[in-house]
Amino acid sequence: MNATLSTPTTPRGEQRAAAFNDGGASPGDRADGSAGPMAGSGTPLLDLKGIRTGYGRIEALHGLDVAIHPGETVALVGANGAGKSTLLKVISGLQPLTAGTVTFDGEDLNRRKAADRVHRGIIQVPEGRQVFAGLSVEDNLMLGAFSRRRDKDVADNLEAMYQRFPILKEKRRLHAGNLSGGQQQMLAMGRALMAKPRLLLLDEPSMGLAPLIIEEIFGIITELKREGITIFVVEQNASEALAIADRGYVLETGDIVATGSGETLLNDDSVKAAYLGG
Amino acid sequence: MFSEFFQFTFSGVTLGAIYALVALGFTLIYNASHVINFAQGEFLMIGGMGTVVLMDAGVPIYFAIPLAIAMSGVAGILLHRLAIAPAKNADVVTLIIITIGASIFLRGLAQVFWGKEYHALPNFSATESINLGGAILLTQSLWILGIAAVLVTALGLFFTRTALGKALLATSMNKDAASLMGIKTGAILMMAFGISAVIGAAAGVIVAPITLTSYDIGIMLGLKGFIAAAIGGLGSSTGAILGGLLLGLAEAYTAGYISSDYKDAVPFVIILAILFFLPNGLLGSRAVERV
Repeated sequence: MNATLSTPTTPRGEQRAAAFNDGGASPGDRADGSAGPMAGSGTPLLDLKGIRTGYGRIEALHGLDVAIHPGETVALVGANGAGKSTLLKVISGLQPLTAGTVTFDGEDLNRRKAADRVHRGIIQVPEGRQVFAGLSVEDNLMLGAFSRRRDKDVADNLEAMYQRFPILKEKRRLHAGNLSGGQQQMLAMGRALMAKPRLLLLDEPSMGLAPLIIEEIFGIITELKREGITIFVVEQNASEALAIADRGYVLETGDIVATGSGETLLNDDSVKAAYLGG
Repeated sequence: MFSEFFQFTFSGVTLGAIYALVALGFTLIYNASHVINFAQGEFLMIGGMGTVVLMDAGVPIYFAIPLAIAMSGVAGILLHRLAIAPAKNADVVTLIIITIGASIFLRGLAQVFWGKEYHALPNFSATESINLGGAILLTQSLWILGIAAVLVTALGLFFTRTALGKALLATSMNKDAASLMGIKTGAILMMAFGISAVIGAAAGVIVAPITLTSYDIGIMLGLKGFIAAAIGGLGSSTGAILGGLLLGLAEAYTAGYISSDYKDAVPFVIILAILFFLPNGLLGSRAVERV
């Protein structure tokens, strides 16, 4: 692998409000792809070191390191079964570690449960949407804000979310289970944004969706990126994910085999051969 | 003729309201954890017997009742903390067996400390019965129906209007996704046990003036409440209420028109029929998975 690590990013402070200033956070202050290697500059928002975990006696991740800096969009690509979703579950706290450390904003998270990590701003959109099918669309969105339900601005945030996803407003009284796959994906993302994520984890946002809907979903991710939200997206659809990412990691059967800027990985011959259909 | 029918219907609805409350307790815990809590009947016993014991100690009835209900709520929370939570990732069958053990334990404690005698609670109203068109209505039945209606409404509002109620529903639908919302699912389950115990104890108190109460009252009432929940389709609150009322009416009509000897056999005949012909109950959801 000849891809080199480059982190085109400007560290940011408080990001938790970013999801709601429509265009308030300007994209201009971030260096674009041409910025030189800045690896190690600034403290990472999320720092994974030597991550090992498994299911029973089968190890799924063999000691990986991943770092995500504030404001970055990072993609993790790899084939089915490489361990991508497992890694996200490690970050959100659903999957226990056998070795390694998860550090978020300088704090060791190893002993923190999933719910506590949500309170710190690590918000995951799970694989397969996982909306609460028997609850209304509006209830789903409000549950997204459960961790900050006493904040005064939740009602305003709901209105802002309806402006971002007008289809959800139209269907707000329907059970979430009655929505189409694409609408459920939007609901799952809206639900996550209601929590004001400092780090947004997206697990296979394009899974099982029609090509046109996939375009729309990646359009939304690009928009969130422009608003300055730190995003870690896991995708089998490598070309789409790498195209919007500042940086990418390639995961193969539990090991990271390549890393570099999204563009570099997209043009890397071995990555092309393995994940982009030649 | 008609007054007889009216009489049976009224006592059936009264019994049904009690079964419905017990069934709601089963439903609540089943939804939150897929555990069938066979200690649910003991909460009724703690409510009834607790009130009796407190009143014997000189506590006036209007303090004794809420105290006994609170005691049962604490017992429910302890049941979760000390017996269910430590079993962590045990499978559901193991957890169900734990609840059976807990029910035997609680019944044993009550037998040792509160005795084996039957006790009666006084009627809530001074007038014991009123005559309505030839039928005799117990005023306590009106209390039962009124309080059951209040509890059901309160529970309904809890689920539709409060963030905690919706968090409980979300946890029952998808536990992992719920923890990704920042919901502490362990605490939610503990709350479900607490609420179930409170509802159960309330049912145990309001029924005590009619049926008497003793340390082993929970066995039959608990089983019948479970059957009511199963008739409604475990997991559906509306189903639990419907199942409770159906069961109460079936029992009352059997006792009235056939023989009261067969009264207690009715629930078990009904549950067999339901399991054969409608294994998901009346309102139970078919196990449909959307991929």
